[in-house]
Amino acid sequence: MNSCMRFFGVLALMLACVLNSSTSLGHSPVDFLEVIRVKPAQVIEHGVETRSRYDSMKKESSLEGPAYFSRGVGAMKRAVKSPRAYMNWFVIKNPTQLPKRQVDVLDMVRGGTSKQLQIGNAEFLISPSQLLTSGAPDEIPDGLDIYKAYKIHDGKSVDLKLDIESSLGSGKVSVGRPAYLCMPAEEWHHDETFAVTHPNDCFVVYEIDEQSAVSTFNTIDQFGINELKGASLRWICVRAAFLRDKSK
Amino acid sequence: MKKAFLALAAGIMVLAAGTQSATAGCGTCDKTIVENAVASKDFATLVAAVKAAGLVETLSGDGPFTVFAPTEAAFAKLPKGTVADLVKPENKDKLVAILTYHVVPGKVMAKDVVKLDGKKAKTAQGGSVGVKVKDGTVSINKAKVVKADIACKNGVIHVIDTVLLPKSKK
Repeated sequence: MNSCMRFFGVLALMLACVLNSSTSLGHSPVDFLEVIRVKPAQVIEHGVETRSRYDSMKKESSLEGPAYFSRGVGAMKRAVKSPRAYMNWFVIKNPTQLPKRQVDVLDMVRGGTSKQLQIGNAEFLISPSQLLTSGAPDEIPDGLDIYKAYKIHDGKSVDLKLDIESSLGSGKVSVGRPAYLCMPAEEWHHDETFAVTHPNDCFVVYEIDEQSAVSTFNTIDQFGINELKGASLRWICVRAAFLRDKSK
Repeated sequence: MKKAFLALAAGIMVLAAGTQSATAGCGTCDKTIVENAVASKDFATLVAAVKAAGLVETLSGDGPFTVFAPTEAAFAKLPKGTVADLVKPENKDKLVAILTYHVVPGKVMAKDVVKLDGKKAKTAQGGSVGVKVKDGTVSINKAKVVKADIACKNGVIHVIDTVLLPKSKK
């Protein structure tokens, strides 16, 4: 029964995308991302200006990190999309104090069974990155924007076992409560501007059973090259569609 | 007329505020390559060499330039007495050749450097440096890039762990 509801939820998600063609999730270059807690060799402390749908004007965000690293993964029998998406997460040290808001978001885990979320302040800025191995790295997938991760308050656990092909291999993970809603944001960094390409494409970040994910790798992002030491797999990002802000 | 003047003044103030804000929190991007190098203890030998070569004015100009900046440890790898010899007035041409071999015209950020894997980039000296991305490491000739994208007003600095030496002309 549960999987049936989820199927119809995903179907509804597709339908919402088709009906809302200007913000179609068909553009989304990634369905699922694993989120790994990392320690960078060089801690980046940098100010950028950002603006999301919850900022009335652009505002300087003081960033520190990367604190987490994301990599596109396969899940729910969906293969990872190519080119693979990578993101570096930076803590926003001076978050704007926002009132709690009720929003409706349709995601691939909860489907149509529950769409409501209550969000608060943005705690992270998530920037596309590239994994450095050998040779020129894969391009950043088209349609992958910069996101702000808003804390979800009182999110109910979905209590679901999810098939996932993560960097730790194939297996099932227990998915718990939604922790963050990642909404696209414009960013100004030096003389570069990063626009929002798909304003309603977003991600819901779910807690999973924390697993050790020790590895060392190099990434390149808007702040340069950095060596990251992975510690543990902590969250999973799930593709979603922003439907409406009920606080307005 | 007075209203138009006030509007213009307000517009300029908004633009000025925007410009200041856009670079706020960077720490290096409002300074030139030379000013940033001088501010770092890790480039003391490089700065001394740039001064001896008479390149301070050039590298303080509009650019933009991409500088592969060797650290103190990089200079320490050179045979003993090499730097002392190079900064002698009679060796100025050789010093200029070595230093300009570390400069690529234009602002080439790390994300663009890695696209050059297996290719060469022409330097201000006239010779070319090879770019290699292997096992997560970016190398310029045999020098490893240890820090990238130090944004400057007139370009960008990438820090390297080995001094680049151009092939001597036969």
